[in-house]
Amino acid sequence: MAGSPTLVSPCPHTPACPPPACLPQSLRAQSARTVSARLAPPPDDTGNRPNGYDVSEGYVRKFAGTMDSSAVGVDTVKHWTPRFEGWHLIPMAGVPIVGLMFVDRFNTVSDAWQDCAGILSRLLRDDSGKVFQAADNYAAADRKSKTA
Amino acid sequence: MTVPSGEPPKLILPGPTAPTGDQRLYVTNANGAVQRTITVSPTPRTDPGFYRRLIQGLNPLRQSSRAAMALSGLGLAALALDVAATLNAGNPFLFSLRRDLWKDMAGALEGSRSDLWRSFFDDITPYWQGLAAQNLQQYIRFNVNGLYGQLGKISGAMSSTMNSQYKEVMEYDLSVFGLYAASAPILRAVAAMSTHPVGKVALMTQVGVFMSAAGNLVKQFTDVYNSYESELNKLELKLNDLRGAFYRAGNPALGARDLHLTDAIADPDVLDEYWVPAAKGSS
Repeated sequence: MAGSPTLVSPCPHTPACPPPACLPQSLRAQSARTVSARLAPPPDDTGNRPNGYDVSEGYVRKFAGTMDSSAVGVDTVKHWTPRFEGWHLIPMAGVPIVGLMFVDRFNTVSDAWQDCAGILSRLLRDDSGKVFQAADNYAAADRKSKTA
Repeated sequence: MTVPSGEPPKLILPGPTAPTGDQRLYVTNANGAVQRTITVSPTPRTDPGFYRRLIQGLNPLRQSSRAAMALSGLGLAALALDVAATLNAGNPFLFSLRRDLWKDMAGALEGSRSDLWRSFFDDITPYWQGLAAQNLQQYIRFNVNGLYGQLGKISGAMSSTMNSQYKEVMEYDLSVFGLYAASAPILRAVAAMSTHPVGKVALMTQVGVFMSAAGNLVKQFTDVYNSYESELNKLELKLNDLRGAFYRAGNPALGARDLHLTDAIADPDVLDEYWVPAAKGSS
């Protein structure tokens, strides 16, 4: 790689994007954070931890982020929930005519499932907010104790 | 998922709600330099058209059979059976699609559950002590995990029920088609001779044979389909568990249970009790 002429204009981002082309916004922000997380030293037992508190707090944020993305995942799944409706109920097009007497009960199961998935998704979203808040509180208290 | 950040990673899951546009995948080497870019186009599941072709093939056969039935003098009774037999035909794709959909849903749900479970034991347990870690552990192990489990059970059971319906509906469709395909040529041939008294008797016999075969088919299918009562019953029993887990007294009318984490976890006043870094607490 070294010595080869650069074909593209220099990357304006910090940190610089990997060649050959600049990454899209979402990837770039993510890679920057990954690097900083990797460089942070892991907490050890010596008590000599320059960034220890920040690292632990970072893990809380990471966990909260996972909660939030799980909430999004459950919400996505919730929107797929299939029902039998519309043309599915027309004889000779969709469900067999003897099946029609079961359709309502299958739909009941689908609806209940969808509803419960919504509850779980909301639960995870709300609680991830609490965990983020906790990380913020911790950071604030930590700053205060350092300046004091 | 090694990103300690406030933003969740974007989830792209398989299924009918797959992103509409093309998605790009960046392949990097060990230094993080992009080696190549792969473009992935989502493919939505579509009806392969089995049922449409079946009905297209069935309709001309039905017509010649009906004409023969009318000539035989058993017209009305035979016609009723013909209608009953064909109305019971169903589109198997409707069920195979649902089978796959519920299966995907169960998979995505399990993935999301595992993410959360791993994340707790990788990110919280090693670094934190105190009440918050305890509360979170209870929340993950006994609350959220159970809720995921209940949802997963139902989606799994739905998937297998849909698969057995798919199988029955498909088999029935093929049996109906087979019956018509086998008897239509005979009926047509006998109907051509029906002006002669002997031909008329032969036609009546043949229509009678067809009727009993069709009647048998319909009855058997109805029996098989009614046996779904038992599968549906199992599903509804699981549904009770699901409702019990999510709603007050298991009754949706009473609203959702309060399953939330304690607010104390985000309360700055009790921060010292709740959030104790592991190293500090042990020293």
